[in-house]
Amino acid sequence: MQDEVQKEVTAWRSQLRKGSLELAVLLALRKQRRYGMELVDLLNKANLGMSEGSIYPLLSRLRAEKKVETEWVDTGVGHAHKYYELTERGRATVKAMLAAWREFSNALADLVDER
Amino acid sequence: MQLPPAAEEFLKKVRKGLGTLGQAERDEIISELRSHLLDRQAQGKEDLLAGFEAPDVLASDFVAEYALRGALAQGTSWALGRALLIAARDSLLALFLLLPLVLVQITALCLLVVAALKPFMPQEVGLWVGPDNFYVGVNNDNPAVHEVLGWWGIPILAAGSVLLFWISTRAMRALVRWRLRSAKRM
Repeated sequence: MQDEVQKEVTAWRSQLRKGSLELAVLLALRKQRRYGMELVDLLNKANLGMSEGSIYPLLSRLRAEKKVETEWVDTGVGHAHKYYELTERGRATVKAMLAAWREFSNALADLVDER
Repeated sequence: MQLPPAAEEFLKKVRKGLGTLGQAERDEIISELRSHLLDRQAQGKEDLLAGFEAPDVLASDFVAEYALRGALAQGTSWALGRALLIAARDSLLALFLLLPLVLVQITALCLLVVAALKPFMPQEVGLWVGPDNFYVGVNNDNPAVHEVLGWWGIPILAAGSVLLFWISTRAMRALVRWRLRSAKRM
């Protein structure tokens, strides 16, 4: 039974992670522009379990939705990096998503603290 | 800097999987993945492909994203249907929902054709009703049925066609949006 519970919790954690990935990527771009691998490393450092390649379709969508803009930059390492930067629309999205997240998180915290 | 053969092979397979995208889009995606792999190589990572999805899976994620977004922008039922067909490769549910919608669009087209033929074949085409029959189309001298719309068939069938086409296209757009939301959760 313990195994089953653990499996369910693992699946639930995976869904939580997937659902919050867009917010995590937008947050990571809030203060500075970054390239794909930087984002993967940053999200993995935060234990968000990002696989190596799956961030790129997500970034591609954010770009199409005009939430980020991109620029290829030669950083002197022998090859260029494609940098992602938040647009005004992206900033507005982060702000709105963050407000929704806080509201949800507070509601859940109230339930957790309820005796 | 050169990538090892396994990494080059991986990129080649991703590129192949991106076949339905434009050349510029494919080049951009492959350049970015190459840059990522070169960075990992410079960091001294031994298995450069560890942590990557299979090349066909990664490519299909990109294709589904591009196709679905592009179809929404175009808004035509052809583009929407094509995008849903591409997305249906990894979603049987999308395929089952798409097929009836395609049938509705074909029906809409048939209604339009019948409405257009009515002025030229007034006695042969229309809405035919009989004891065991009810259909729109051509009647080949079947005495058991009679046509009920007459000249009203032209506006009624044309309006029916437009309505079916509009409803099914709206449903396709909703389906594309649903697939995009599913892709966002991936």
